[in-house]
Amino acid sequence: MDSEFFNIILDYISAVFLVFTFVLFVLFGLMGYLSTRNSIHYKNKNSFGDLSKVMASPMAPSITIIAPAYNEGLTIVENIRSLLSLQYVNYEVMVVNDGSKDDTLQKMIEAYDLVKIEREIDPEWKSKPIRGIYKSKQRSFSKLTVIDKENGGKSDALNTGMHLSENQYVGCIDVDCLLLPDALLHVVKSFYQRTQKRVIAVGGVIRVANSCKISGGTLEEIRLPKNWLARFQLLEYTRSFLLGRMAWGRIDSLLIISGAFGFFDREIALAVGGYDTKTVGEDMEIVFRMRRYMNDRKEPYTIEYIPDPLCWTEVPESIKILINQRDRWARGNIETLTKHKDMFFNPKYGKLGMLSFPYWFFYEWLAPILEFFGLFSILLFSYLGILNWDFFIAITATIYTYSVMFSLYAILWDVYLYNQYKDTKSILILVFCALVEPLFFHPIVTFSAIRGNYKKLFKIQSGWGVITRKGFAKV
Amino acid sequence: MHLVFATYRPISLIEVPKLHTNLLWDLTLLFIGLSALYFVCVFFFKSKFTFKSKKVSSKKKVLAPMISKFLFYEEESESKEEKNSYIQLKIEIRDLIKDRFNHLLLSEILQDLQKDVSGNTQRRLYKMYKDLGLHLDAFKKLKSWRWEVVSQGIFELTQMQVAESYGFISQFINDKRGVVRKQAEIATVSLKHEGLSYFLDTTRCNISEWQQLKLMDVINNLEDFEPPRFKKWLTSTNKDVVLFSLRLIRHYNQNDTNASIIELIRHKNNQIKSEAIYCIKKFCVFEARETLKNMFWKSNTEVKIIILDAIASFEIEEDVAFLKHVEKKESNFTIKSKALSSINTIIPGYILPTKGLSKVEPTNSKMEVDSESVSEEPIDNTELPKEEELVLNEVDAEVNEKDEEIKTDTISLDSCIAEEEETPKIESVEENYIIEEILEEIEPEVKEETKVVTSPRENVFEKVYAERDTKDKELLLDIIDKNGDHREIPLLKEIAAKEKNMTIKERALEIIFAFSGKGPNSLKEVEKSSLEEDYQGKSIFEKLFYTSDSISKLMLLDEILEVGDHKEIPFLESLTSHSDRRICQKAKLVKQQLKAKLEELKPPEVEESIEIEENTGVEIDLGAKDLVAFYDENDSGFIEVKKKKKKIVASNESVYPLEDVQIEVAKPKIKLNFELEGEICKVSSSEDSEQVLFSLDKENTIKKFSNSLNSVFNYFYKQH
Repeated sequence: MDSEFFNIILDYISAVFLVFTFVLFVLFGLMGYLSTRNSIHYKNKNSFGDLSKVMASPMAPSITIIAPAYNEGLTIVENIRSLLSLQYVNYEVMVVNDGSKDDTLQKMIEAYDLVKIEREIDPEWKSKPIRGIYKSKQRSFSKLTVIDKENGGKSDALNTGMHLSENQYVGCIDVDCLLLPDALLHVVKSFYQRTQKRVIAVGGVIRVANSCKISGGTLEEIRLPKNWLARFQLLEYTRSFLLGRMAWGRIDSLLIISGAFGFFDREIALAVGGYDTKTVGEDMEIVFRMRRYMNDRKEPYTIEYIPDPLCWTEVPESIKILINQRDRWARGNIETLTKHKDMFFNPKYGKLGMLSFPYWFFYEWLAPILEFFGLFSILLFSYLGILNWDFFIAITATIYTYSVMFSLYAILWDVYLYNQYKDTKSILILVFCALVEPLFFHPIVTFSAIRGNYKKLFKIQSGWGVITRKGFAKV
Repeated sequence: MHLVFATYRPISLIEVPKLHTNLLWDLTLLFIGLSALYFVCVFFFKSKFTFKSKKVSSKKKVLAPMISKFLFYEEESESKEEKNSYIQLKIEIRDLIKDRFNHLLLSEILQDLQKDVSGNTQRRLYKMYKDLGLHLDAFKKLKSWRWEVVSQGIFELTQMQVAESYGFISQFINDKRGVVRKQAEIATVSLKHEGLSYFLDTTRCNISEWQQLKLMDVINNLEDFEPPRFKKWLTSTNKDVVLFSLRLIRHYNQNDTNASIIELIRHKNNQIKSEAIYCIKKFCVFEARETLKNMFWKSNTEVKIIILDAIASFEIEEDVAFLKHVEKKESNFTIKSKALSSINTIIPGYILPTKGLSKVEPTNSKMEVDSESVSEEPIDNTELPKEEELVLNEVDAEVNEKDEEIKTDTISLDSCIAEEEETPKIESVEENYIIEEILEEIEPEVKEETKVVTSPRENVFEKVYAERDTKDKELLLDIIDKNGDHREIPLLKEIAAKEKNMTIKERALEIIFAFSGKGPNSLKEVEKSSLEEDYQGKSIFEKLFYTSDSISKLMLLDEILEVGDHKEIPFLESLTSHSDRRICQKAKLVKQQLKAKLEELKPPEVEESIEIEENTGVEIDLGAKDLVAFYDENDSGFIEVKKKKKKIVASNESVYPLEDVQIEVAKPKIKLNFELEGEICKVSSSEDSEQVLFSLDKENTIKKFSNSLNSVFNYFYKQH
């Protein structure tokens, strides 16, 4: 009887894993199909025409780029210079110094000749106190505004910027990101090209800038990262942005816009109260709230996604920093899903409630836990001598080859659409990464997610962690 | 026990699917196969792209010179040989484009090229495109079932201005395929001037904001375009047509439709409403005031702000009551704030700041302020204070805070004033209105003395402006811009003329432009007049250089080497101490190379005593090494030739020296009766002459003697 019961339990576990894997295969297959269609459509649609013609149009909308800075003294001057050299006329760069303990503010004041200005601030606006607003005395830096405020975290800084901006659209970026000169033109096009739906947000691809040749805030040569961890992340980003988000974008169910490169309709972003300051996954959470807001009002809306490589950033090159980053992402994920749990399989929210949210729940939050549990079971069954080795090896090989195939598909589309890594050696290295990633890199990501879940479960206080960057000037 | 087991099995909730291991291995093989396929595809596409780009670049090398010969062919040329060679070239190109790849490539090259040329050359390019029948391909594309091909076809025909395609393309204006429709809209507007009217009449679809931006750009670039009266589309049932028409009305200042615009304030669509208000603001439609006020309370925040802005722009004091009412009733901070600023726009200084000010002793202040509103609320002045008094109070507060900046300025001005005390007093305060105010702000106590300072304009420039550092100068210009008026123009002109820093100079010019209230032409005039003098002996690159980013600066240095002359040397010299190491190094290099180049190009000392009559024509350096020819427009049949001292033949150029050509050079004027064969290397201009450099083809130069040289010279002379 006991043995029978145990077998039944095992059967159930196997069934869950099999169904989970099968659905995963189907979903990833669908993703590949949808992203392919979307990519081809995007390429055809944008193969002609010149964006730059409208950059100085008097009808072009105004945009504020908000870049929160916390202890960025090392790179802040160069990063701002890069932001000030974008190809667009009607934009403002708003750097929010979030109570940096280093010389970030001082460096900005010196480099850009800033002076404090007086400006009325809504007394009812809830954010950490603003210590000063600075503008440059030099006309060439008239696009720059610096807000100095007490430390309140990234979300608080972004909210302050959003509130003080007077422009129609706001872009929330990481100050250490490098935007390509025509980035804003792409963003404006995305906001302005719809007629039936209101575009409430625009997100884009984040590319890995490690080892790239960057000079004077301009990307001069695209190179493959020298660090292996960065190479794995490059492959992961390619897969995620070129296949995953492209597919979600195709069915208008994108649930996340990267904090490093996200643009919002300011009116809607402020209407939902801006970023949530209590979560570390604020970039995902604000999208949930904005979507809910529009959904509840039954207003036609959409979120656009730009697959062009417009934003380049440094990724962690040390395992410790990477684990901290992924741990934070996992916690942000749990916080957002918990906060909006009423959307789970809620038909009121359409595709959002019936497809995106469940996917996010099962395959972004639950998957690492199941993986960890699966690994634990294998070890246990192996110890107990009840592991069917033939079956285990066969299914592992199937899953492994599927993952390699999916990565190669991402590389193929990257080459077909953008062909950025010109030398054959770089492509071969990426292919090699695809082969070994499931064995070396993926376990690190899973471990980080488990750690994040553990911290969340046992309410272990942990904030953003420190990410040390070399800065583009030093790369 | 057995029963339990027996009943359990049939009702088990789930039966684990029996997955055969072989199936898994089959799947594995399938995935391996797909992975291999993708791997191959990656390298297939990669090599395909590389191969194509190499092929394109090699073909471009063949086609580019052909195209340029074709484009620069003179139709009026009487030479039979030239005509023959033109026809030969045409045949050659036709043969070449029989190959499909070449055909597509040529079409692509011409489309790329049309962006870089203008005027006659552009027209010739369009003609060539049609002559070679490349437009027929684009026409074929219009019949495709694939939207991207149709769009591409429309795009090509639009780019190459094939007016015959108008009728075909305009049919797509209401196409259900978005991209095709949008391309058709742009083509319709672009190909014929009446296209815009046709488009606005016909379109039933939405026009996205992006599309409107693009259309506006197309319309702005139309040559000799007479815009129709857009008011007739304000009644369109397509709301986007109404919106676009309003924007065009504003853009073209068509202020003959105020009644319709006032009606549109009541439109349900907020965008149309906002646009109508913008028009009202621009055209100062006072009749709309009441409608605006009525609509205010029914509008959203964005529209409310635009309405307040419009009301403020009318500057009618009667509206203050309404604005005060808004300020009291509205709960939204932004709207309240806007209402207050609007009041201040109508009556400057009506609302005074109350926060962040130090306490001021009432004895020092002459302000008459409503005592109720001083404490908490913004001050509502029933009797308006004089501006100077206001400034004094603010400055007092700032002085109390011991602002470092003011201190510094005060010191410098003190010294300035001390020196000026010796100069004669001339009462011309009017001219330097703002300077005086600034001085007042900085040090109220020296107000009287500053009159002395501000008297003669030149002295003001020298003492108040010239000695300041760049930051202070910029600050001063900002203040002038903000608070000044036309009375500052003389000083600003002086600044524009004497200032060496290009940014400041430009800023001064902008302010002059703003104060003079004239159109862009007058700005150019002002700029010209103030810079004319200034640029003599100066590098023309200097202005451009200081307004460019690092990359452009480096590119500009390349250009200096290409087309620069002796004027660039001091400028390059100044750049050798530039803070950017790359620029510094490049400047050094360019300076050396330019010097060497100028040395080579130095007008030769006439070796064989060929006396040239006064050089009033175009100087043509034949081969850039040996011969210099002067073409005089008044004496079109003659070319003056002089010979350089040394004969240098560059390794990669074939230069034909005068002796070898066996032309009699003893005479000062000779008629060059031969056809010049070779490549035009460069066309450059200096102060008093135009220079065309030829690299002569050794083989063919002396084969053909004819009059064609005259036409070549004629052509270049006309061009420059």
